[in-house]
Order: sequence, then structure tokens, then C-alpha cells
Amino acid sequence: MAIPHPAALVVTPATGFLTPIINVEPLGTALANTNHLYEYFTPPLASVMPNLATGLSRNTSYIFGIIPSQDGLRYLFDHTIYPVATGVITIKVESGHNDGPTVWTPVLAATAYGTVAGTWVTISHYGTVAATEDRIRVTYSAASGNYLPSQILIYPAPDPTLKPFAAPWIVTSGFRVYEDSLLDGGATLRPVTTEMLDRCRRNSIRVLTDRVHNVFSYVQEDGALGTPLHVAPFASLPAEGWATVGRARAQIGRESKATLQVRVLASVSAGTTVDRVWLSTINDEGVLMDATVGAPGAMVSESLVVHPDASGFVDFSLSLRASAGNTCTIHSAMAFWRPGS
Amino acid sequence: MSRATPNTKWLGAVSTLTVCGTDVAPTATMVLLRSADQSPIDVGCMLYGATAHCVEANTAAVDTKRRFLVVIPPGCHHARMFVTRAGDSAGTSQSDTTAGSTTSGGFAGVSVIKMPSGVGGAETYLPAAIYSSIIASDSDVNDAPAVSMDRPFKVPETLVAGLELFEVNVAAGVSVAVFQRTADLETL
Repeated sequence: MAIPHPAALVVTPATGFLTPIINVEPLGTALANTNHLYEYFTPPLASVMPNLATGLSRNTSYIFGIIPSQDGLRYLFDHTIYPVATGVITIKVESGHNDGPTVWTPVLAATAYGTVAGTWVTISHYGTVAATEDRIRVTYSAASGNYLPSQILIYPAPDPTLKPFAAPWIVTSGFRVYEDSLLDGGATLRPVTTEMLDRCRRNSIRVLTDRVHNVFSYVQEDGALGTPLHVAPFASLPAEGWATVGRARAQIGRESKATLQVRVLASVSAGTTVDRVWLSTINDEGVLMDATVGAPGAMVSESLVVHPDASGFVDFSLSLRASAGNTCTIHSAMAFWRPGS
Repeated sequence: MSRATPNTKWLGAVSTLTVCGTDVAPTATMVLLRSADQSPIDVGCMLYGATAHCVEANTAAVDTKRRFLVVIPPGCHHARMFVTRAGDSAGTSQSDTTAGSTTSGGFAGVSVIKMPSGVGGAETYLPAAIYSSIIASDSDVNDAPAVSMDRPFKVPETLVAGLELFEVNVAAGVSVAVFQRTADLETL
């Protein structure tokens, strides 16, 4: 009895389906491939590149929304950093939920990592994120001098020693692991059931729909340790004038339509919090779709229907506006795609 | 015979969780077996969403060189980078956007991928997005360039997802999207 852990997809040749003799294969390979999906299907939960001024040598912290797996997966966190000084950078990562106040749970306790002046480094660590969490906070501190946190990437990295690879062999998403004695009893081959065929499809779809893809990101400091880079109002714009702070192109598979989930964290110094942030898209057909959310200092959720072009591309534009006499800041804006939606 | 990299559209396709349907004793055909086998291949080889990163890295006030990792799914061999360019003072020619990746040869010398810049218009980045543009790296493959040029990025071509490190210099937004897939998965 063994649970296959294929390190890569195994592609059964097309000839393998031409009148094969009764045997474990190719069905065993198909089922084992679903185990591979659970371990190695790794769309980005979050990929953010913080906006910040050059030469920062103080601590910085960032908060951005997430939609984690319902299975409480372990994730791999990659921090790509450019350090100016040789020394140490300390990283702390927390997951959180709720507003007023947010309940924070440690993902990575404050941990020091060595840096070499002028040498790019990617610092990696694991962390488990519960299904109930809706945001991540990352804090950097570098006593040795200035540094640039260029990117934070988070993607699934399930622990192969935990469920579903251990009892009870099934997880919340509905994925059920394949264990090879189902088909191969040694000298006795087991009978094939329709469930085994269906499990190939069911397991695949469960993994697919459980893990969202981060397709848009804009992140600045959360304001706890310093002033973010872009704060409205901006010069030459009147109060209530929309200022664009980000434009970028995403690809959403080969879909012609998708409903994205948007998570925005923004705040104002005073005044109205209504309709302060505008995330819009335009494809090559000129269709304009948008979602406008408030800026209450709490995580705001919205859905956004997009129509990618034939290659799956969508151009996003992010804008904000401040009311007269007040400021407005976007701390983070994230959009997620769940395949099938 | 061969097996092409799938190109599945998922909208409307995820509600079907079985290959046997409601038939408790379907005829044991190769079509059923092949359909079961294809499901994890369809999901495993799907294109991950290419993240549109909004990052200001194109002025003197911010660091202009950024590195970032991208998860490359199985069955891919080339990708393109999409860079947001923002306007500068009227009549000013900005620096070319340069980029690189590990598998494309690295981040120096002739391996550097150069996306030429046009002359900027009025300073319009923050007030008016209509003057910013999104440029794409070229689509003509050249994995052994003699000089630094505009070309696609070679990415690892395997049957398991992997990370690729990219660098971009002078950008106001960046994403990387796969545009060439493996023709026959049986060759990997």
C-alpha cells in the first residue's frame, strides 16, 4: 500500500489507450496524476511588488488581501529583496481576518536572514494559512541599511505528510487521495469501479476550483511604519479628481469572460469614504468594466466581470480620489480569478 | 501519435465532476478511460493567471530595477513580458526598458532583452492614464542572440510547475505571460 507522489505529470502516450490488456495502467497513472496536482498545482495566491521610495532604511509593512484554499494549505513564501548593506534583514509574516481590530496569526515569527551588499536574494519559507484568513501582513526590518523588497510571491506547497496524504485521506475541498492498492493488490488486480474513473475528473476539478489565481496587484505600505509613496490628492488635480496610480496587463487563461474577486484596503484622513477607489478594465474591443469600492480603512470586497480578448488579456487601471481638504491612500488592491467563475 | 498541450476554457466546464455521468454501469470504452486520463492533464497544464503588477519603477524617486519570480506551469517554452510605460516631460526620450530572466541567459551582456522607448509626451502618469502605454517584448524567438535585442523569454519546459526569475528595468507595471506551449507532451 502506497500513496504515489509523482514529482511531475506523467503523460501516457496516445498509443497506451489502444486496446490495452487488463492492467493497473493507464488508469493508475491517471489517478496518481491527481495526487501530483494536489502537491504541485501552484497558481500564485499572491504576487505583489511593493511601491515605495528608493533608499528606505526603516522598517516597512504591507497588508494585502488573499483568498486561501479551503483546505488550510501550507504555502511557500518567496521574498525577493535587493539589500544595499551586508548584514541582516528580519522578516515577519502574519495572516489575518476581521476589521476593527484585525485578528493576526503568526505565519512566520520574526526571523533574521543574512544579506550581502548589492546581491539580489530570494528568501523562502513555508507557512500555513487557514481557510478563514482574508489578508496577509508582511513586515521587514533591516538594521544594516536600506533595502528594496522587490516582490512577495505566495503559492501552494502542501505538506506531503499531512492530509489528504494521511488519514482521513480526504480534505474539505473534496479531494480524495489515490492509494495504489485500490487497483494493484499484488498478485491480484482489483476490480475497476466507475468511482475510480470519476475520481480522476472530480479530484482534478476540486484542486482547480479551490486555488485562486492572483491576476492583479497594487501594494503600498499600510501606514503603520511610514507614509506610503502615493497619497491623493496629487498636484494639478482638483478635489474629487480621479488620479491613476497603476496600469498593467493580466492574462486570464484563455477565458472570454471571468468574474474576478477584488479586495481593496484603502483609507482616508477624513471626510467621505464612499467611492474613493476605481478599478477598471478595457480589452481590445473597448469594453469598460469597473468596480468602485469605498475607502473605510477596512478590507473591502467586490466582484468584477471582465471580458478578456482572444488571447486572454485584460488591461487593468487603478485610480483613486480624495475629497476636498483630505487625503486618500490605497494600501493594496488585489484581484483574483477562480477558474470556472 | 502525440498529445497536444491542452488549451481548456474553464467557464461552464467545472460543474461536470464525472466522466461516467449518471450511468452506474457504463460500457468500458477507451473513450471513458481517455477522458479520465485527460482531466489531470487539462488542469495540470493550464495557464496560470499572469499577474498584472502595478509597480512604479520608472522615475528617479524610486528604484528602477525590479526582480520578481513567476510560476511557470507545465508544457510551456516561451513567454512575453508586458511593461507599462509612463509619460515623461514633453519631448523627452526615456531610457529603454531592459529585462532578463534566468533561462533566457541571465541579466547581463547580450542576454539582456531591450524594449525600445519612444519619446515621452507631457508629464501625465499620475493625472491621466491615457498617456501611458503597455508594450510587449517581441514575439520572434531568438534564444542565442549575438547582441542585446527585443525577443521573447525562454522558460523551463517540463511536466511540473517551476519558478523563473525575471528582471525589469524602467517600468510602471509588469506582467509575464506564456505564449508558446509544448506541441507534443509526449516529448517531455
